[in-house]
Amino acid sequence: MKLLADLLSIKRLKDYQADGVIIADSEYSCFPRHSFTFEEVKEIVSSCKENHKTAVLNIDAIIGEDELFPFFKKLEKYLELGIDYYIFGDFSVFTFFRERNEEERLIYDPKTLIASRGDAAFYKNLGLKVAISSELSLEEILEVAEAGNGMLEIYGHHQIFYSKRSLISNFFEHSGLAGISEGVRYSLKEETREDEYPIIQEGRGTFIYTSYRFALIDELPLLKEKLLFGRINTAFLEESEALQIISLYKEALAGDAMETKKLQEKLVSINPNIGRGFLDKKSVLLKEES
Amino acid sequence: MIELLAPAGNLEKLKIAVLYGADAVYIGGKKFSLRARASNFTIPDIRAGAAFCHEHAAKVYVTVNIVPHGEDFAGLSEYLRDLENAGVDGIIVTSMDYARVAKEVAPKLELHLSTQFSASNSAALNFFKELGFQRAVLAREVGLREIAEIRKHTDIDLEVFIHGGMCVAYSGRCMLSNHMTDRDANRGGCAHSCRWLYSLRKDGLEISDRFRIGSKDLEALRAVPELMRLGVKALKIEGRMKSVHYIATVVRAYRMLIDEYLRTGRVSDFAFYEEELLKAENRSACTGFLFGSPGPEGHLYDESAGPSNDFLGIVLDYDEKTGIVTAEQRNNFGTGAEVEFFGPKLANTRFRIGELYDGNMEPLDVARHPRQVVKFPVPFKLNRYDMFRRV
Repeated sequence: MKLLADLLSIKRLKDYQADGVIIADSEYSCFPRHSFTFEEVKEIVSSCKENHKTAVLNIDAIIGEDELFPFFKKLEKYLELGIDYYIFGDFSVFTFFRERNEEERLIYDPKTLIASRGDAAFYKNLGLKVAISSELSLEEILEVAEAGNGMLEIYGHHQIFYSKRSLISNFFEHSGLAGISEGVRYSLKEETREDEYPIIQEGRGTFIYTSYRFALIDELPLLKEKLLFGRINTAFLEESEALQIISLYKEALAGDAMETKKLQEKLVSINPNIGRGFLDKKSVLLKEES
Repeated sequence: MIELLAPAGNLEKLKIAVLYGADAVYIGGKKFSLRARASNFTIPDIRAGAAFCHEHAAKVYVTVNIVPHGEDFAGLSEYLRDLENAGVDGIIVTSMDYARVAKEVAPKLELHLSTQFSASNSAALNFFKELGFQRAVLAREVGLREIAEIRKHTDIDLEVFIHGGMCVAYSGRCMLSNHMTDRDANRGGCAHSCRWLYSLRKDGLEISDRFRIGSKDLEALRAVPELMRLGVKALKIEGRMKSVHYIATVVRAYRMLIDEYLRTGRVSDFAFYEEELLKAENRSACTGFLFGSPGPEGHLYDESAGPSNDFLGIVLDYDEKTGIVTAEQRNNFGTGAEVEFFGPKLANTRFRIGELYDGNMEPLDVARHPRQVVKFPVPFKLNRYDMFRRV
């Protein structure tokens, strides 16, 4: 398993102990708050090459028809940079790369759709790597990982909602509230629940994240041989703590006998709000008879 | 020819949808389908439904649109073969591996790409056509201007939502329900968490305790002529869990509008159709993304919409000799009630109920019991499946 982490700043790029960094494109990525212009991406990719790190570009937005032309123009420019992989969420990206026989560079990340070995294998036959859904139990993740083309978020707030609408500014306008709606982290708390879910409105729409930071710990030894990539999602993390967490995972993955208990203790000491997501449970399906 | 595509949660609703003007219906089976709480069809029901549709020159599509986990592949091949043998015309699919299996084991079934895939541009659509999809349900986030551009660059059949509930997120990209209630929306368990009331906070401080993100329902009457001009293949109504009255009213309104446009090349009075749709349900509506991104007017902020109790009954039989209608009650009504009859071939016709009897012709003042069979004289001809509602 190669360890990837979402990059939060160019300034500290060299401090990222991951095998590679994920660079959010400023126009076509859904990653919150920390995205980069073409020139910045160029600088980051160059630095990655010098330091033998994998450079992954995040272009995971859903693309509208009127965006196709400028989007493909930008991809042409990106191709010249020698980026190792691209994380995408819209199949227009696949058509672009397939025409150039470069589809092996693609990681398909639709958040929810890769939930079975059959689907993962289908995309593998197209030459694609895939981001495994965060809604799966450990048993299910292991099964999907058998397809051999999987990436999994192993730490961080999962993105659990992607709307094209401007939900914060629409509400502010409706309510007559003054406040900055774009690029600011707010949180949602449902009236009968305790959890607070980060919500942010940006250029691509509005996004909601898990209330906790998912942390894959005990299962790392089991999964590290089965997954191509483990992703540390640094959304809403301070960069200094993100760097600590990346180092901890890097260390844990490097060891022959992984000390997961130690990893757990250290992660909790950095931030105790960690959770196991669906690792131990299965979702409920409401059948008619229930 | 444009296809008016209606939802049906059971066999009765399927028949109503077709009789009231749908060119096709989409239904869910007992497995592999979203809307787990809809009644859904057994294979014999699907066979009967397909036969009914085909007798009336309509088509039937089955939703096989869950995002499957490993366990959701058990019995898939057999099920798809059963659908093909039952006379189903096509299936609506999200999983590419489901589509692959369908092509292998049930090649006569048309493949329709589900809106769960959020298809939004021609490049992606052309790829899905290459994979064997005959039709794609566009993301609800695609507007009329974009549809016009998409149409220029792809010849895959396009299906567009025109009416009913709207996910506020890209369909298939919402996990709120699962994370908040362990109910997986992408496998049919959506708890509609987007419609709940939230507190909006920043740095621990509450900004509002009235924060909502849910969308108003879609009502695209005024977009229909343009969608038809653009060559969209199918206009889709959402709502497999809706009542027969809702389905009849909504399908009939769009049917009349489409027919008027086909006949005259214009729509003379949109307000008439809007008033008809208002009789279906007490929920305010918006035009979604069709005319541009929705602002505050596209959201459910202060309203607590509920079902209408205006639907009073459905006609079981009409005796032309005696002028007595036999009807099944769906909400309380009594003597003196002013009602509006309507049907597939019956224009809205108002009438005040005079005498009212139970099934044995014993006099009643009020029909109190759900689904009670009642009789009363009506001075104009009615047909099976005509309905009446409170004025």
